[in-house]
Amino acid sequence: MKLSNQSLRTKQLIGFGAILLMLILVYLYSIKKMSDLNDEIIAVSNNWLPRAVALSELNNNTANLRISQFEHAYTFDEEKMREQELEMIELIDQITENIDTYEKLKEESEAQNIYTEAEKNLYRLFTDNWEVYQDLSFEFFVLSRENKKQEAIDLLNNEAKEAALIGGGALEQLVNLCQQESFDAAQRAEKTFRSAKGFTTIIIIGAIILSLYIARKLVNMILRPIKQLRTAAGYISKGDYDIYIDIENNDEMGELSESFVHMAHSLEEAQNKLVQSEKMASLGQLTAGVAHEINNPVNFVLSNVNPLKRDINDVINVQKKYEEVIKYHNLENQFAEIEKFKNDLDYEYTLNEIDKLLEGIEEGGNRTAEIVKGLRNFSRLDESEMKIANINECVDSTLMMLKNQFKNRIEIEKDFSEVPDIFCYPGKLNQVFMNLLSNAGQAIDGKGKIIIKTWNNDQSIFVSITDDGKGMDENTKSKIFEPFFTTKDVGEGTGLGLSISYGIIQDHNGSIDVKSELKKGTEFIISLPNKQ
Amino acid sequence: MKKILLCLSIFILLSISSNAQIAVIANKSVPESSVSKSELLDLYSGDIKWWGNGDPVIIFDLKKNDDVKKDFYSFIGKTPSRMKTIWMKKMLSGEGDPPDALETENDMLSVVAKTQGAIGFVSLDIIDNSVKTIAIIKD
Ligand SMILES: Nc1ncnc2c1ncn2[C@@H]1O[C@H](COP(=O)(O)OP(=O)(O)OP(=O)(O)O)[C@@H](O)[C@H]1O
Ligand SMILES: [Mg+2]
Repeated sequence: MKLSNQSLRTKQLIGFGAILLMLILVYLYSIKKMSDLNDEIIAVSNNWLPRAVALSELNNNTANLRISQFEHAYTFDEEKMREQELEMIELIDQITENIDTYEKLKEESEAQNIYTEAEKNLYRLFTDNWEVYQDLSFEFFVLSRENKKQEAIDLLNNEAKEAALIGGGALEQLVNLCQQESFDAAQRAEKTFRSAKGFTTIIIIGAIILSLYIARKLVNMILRPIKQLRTAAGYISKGDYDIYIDIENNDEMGELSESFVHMAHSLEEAQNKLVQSEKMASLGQLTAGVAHEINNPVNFVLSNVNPLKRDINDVINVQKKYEEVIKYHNLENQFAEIEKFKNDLDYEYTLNEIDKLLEGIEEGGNRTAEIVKGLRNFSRLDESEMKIANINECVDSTLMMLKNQFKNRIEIEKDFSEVPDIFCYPGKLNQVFMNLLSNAGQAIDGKGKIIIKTWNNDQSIFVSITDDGKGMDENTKSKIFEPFFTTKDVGEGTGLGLSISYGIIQDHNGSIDVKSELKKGTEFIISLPNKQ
Repeated sequence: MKKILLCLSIFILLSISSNAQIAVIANKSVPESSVSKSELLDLYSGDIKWWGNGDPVIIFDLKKNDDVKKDFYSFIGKTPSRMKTIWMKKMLSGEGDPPDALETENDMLSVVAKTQGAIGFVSLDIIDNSVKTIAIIKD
């Protein structure tokens, strides 16, 4: 599940998902804070303030009730007393309403758990005194109605005053308390708002920073390999194929980098092959020229050797004839003189040497002619016609020629499949097999084994020649197709065999591959196009 | 020993439960044998002024704000304080005076037994046949 192993699309999705999630979180958080805030505001507007209003009205109305009672007490006028009574009824209605309002709000705030013990106690104090005051009011009313005015006034000024003061005081404190609480709630709301604002800002900034970070990371993940590719492409255009791209991601960019490196290597291989074949081609032209030039003088030398031998024989015979004639005519002195001269010259040795020298000239000429022939072959100067032939038969005919050479030393194992006939230069292919087989034979020191395999598929016919000889190191392997490259002693190998073979196989649009391990053996695999 | 404990606990349970019950009592002259909750409220608010036989309704209250009084008024949906407000209004509008408030439940019992057309309330466990019970309030 490593992020670097995901595809670009997944990376993008994960990135955007993370950003989206963050925005949703921020959104939810703000909503939550807003609703907290809303609750506070509702608490302020719906509860404490209305409670405070109800309580202060209640306070006013109870005070007014008391004033009306005084006015009732101070008059003897029946009419006025009636008026005051009506007003008192109205006030009592209002008081009832105030109490109802307050108690309803009180129940609500109790349900919300925001009703304080202090408020509860103060309200109890008020109701207790209000009850006492009502009891006293009954007494007062009876006195006042019966015109016992002084007693009524005394009642109002003494017992009722106490209850009124305590009850009124409780109401005032309650109003203050509610105002204080509503103020506190407002402050809490403001604090909530501030902290919500702060938190939301911090979270939004965090979200922005994180999104930037994710975006950067994503872009880097894509950009880094692109930069590496650009640098690598620069190197390649300068001809340096040995590029390295550190492929850390398993995404599309990773794949691209991988195929890029692969491409660079194939490019290098193709380039090397091109250089190799160009080298071969120019060497071929050079060789063709040289071979042509050397051919004539060598022919000259070779064609002169035999007549020279004959001529020298004649000269020697003439000299022998002289000696016989001298011996025959008993010219002892002359003969002795000649013998002495011959001894002085070491004539026997000279005769021997002449033979050897002639042999040397002949061998040298022959070998030069062979080299020239090889060079001409290598440069494809003399192409014979293409024919239909069977590869198995070609290999067999080559083996026939080598039979004597291999004899008991080398065991040949043939593993032939029924391969189709192909259109080819059979003589030249024979030359290739001859060279490969004799190389294999030469690579084997003492007894050994050569395995020859043939097989085919729709496109190609394959011939593999494997020996268990001395093998090659990498350095040798890289040079074997170059003309004149040989590890053999001077005079033993020309180093042309494989380069000629290479050219021949190329003429057939085939390929020649080599696998080798030092001291284990070598395998050459030839593939030829399967067409007639 | 176990039996005594059992009897004791039953007694305690009984006394607790009987304590919580309130009897609405009336003078034997009152013809009504039972009253409903809303009739009780109307009787105590002064809205029903006469019994079925034409006798005036005379209500009685308890002086102390004890459990019996609170439970009785809360049964008819009011607080003692609110009842007083109602009576004060009636008084100011000349519809009648507030009830006499008696010191004890026993006073209530004897006053109701003595007064024609009287109605009152006491704990269920103290009533006797000097009065008639016209409602029982269980909590
Ligand atoms: N089967 C093999 N095992 C080990 N080395 C080999 C084998 N075939 C070729 N080589 C190496 O490749 C070199 C080049 O081979 P190539 O046939 O071109 O030249 P040569 O055999 O040395 O000389 P020539 O074939 O002209 O007589 C050889 O000298 C040898 O070192
Ligand atoms: Mg060779």
